[in-house]
Amino acid sequence: MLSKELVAASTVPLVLSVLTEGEIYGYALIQRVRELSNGRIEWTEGMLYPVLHWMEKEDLIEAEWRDAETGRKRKYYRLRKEGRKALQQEQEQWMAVHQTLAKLWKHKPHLT
Amino acid sequence: METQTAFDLNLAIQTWRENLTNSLAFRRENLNELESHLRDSVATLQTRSLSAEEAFLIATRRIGQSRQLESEFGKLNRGTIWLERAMWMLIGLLVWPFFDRLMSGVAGSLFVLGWRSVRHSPSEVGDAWPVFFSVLIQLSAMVVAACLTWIVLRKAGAFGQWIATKLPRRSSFVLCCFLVSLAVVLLYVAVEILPAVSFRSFVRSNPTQAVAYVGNSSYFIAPLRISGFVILTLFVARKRLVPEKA
Repeated sequence: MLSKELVAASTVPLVLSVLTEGEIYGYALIQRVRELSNGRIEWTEGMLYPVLHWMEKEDLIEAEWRDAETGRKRKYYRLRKEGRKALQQEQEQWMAVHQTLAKLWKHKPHLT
Repeated sequence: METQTAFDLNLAIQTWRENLTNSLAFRRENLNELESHLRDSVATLQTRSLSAEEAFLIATRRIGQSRQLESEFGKLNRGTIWLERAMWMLIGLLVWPFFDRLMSGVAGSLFVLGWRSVRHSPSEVGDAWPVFFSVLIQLSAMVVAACLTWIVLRKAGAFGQWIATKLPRRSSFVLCCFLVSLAVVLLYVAVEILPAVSFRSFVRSNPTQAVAYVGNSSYFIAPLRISGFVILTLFVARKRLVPEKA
């Protein structure tokens, strides 16, 4: 399980990255992240929506209510151009952290 | 042992949603989305051989506690929340003087009518007692007004929801404006004009100090009225802050 702080910091890049695969609704997005992380990234599911709405307000993504195959309506989210730009910046920053840590941990990979 | 009542998923979801509807933090669209999520989640869990009730319990747990959701959505919808609060403040400012005016109008008329029916001469009665009685009557009128205001504010949630479904339609909005204006005119007639007429006829028939007594009593009533309003405000604030026991 990730710490609260790390969850808060990683939600936006995770959402942006999942959306590069195509448009998706909230529940499926959470399932996708759970699946990709083998259950290690576990969100309080309802908390994703305020983040999505904030990203919508910042024009990173756009949303649309549509009928789903179940007959109910679902809100689908889609990446926008600003979102792609933001993702690029996120990638650079996360890679910087990742590469630095990877170098430091190379010599002692098991911190037991 | 087998008489356990069947679990109604739709009813459970509806109750869950109503619990959130009471908070200002959520807009209708937010609730639609959360409900859609909950239904997806329940459906998925049910395919894993869980009963509807088990699936519902797990799904609501995963979606998060209402208090937590409320605070996060609240940050997002701050503008709407303040508009809503301002609206309730305005309603409060209207409701209290409305009942206060109505009750003090009734009390004033009662006092004057009572005075009229009692035979007396001013020299016997003295000044203090009539003023005291006038204060007493007005005070009880104020208490009734405060109670009525409190009842109206308590029931306002249900009324607010009802009116919220009506107001977006333009015809209902216009009708609403018309009815409110009519009510204000009628109230004005009841509170201002009728007592004024009855006062005048009284003064003509018996030009004693009764009117002055009612006037003098207002020196005592005015501060009480203000503090009554402040106490009512604090009372509402306290109700809001003290957590409700489940």
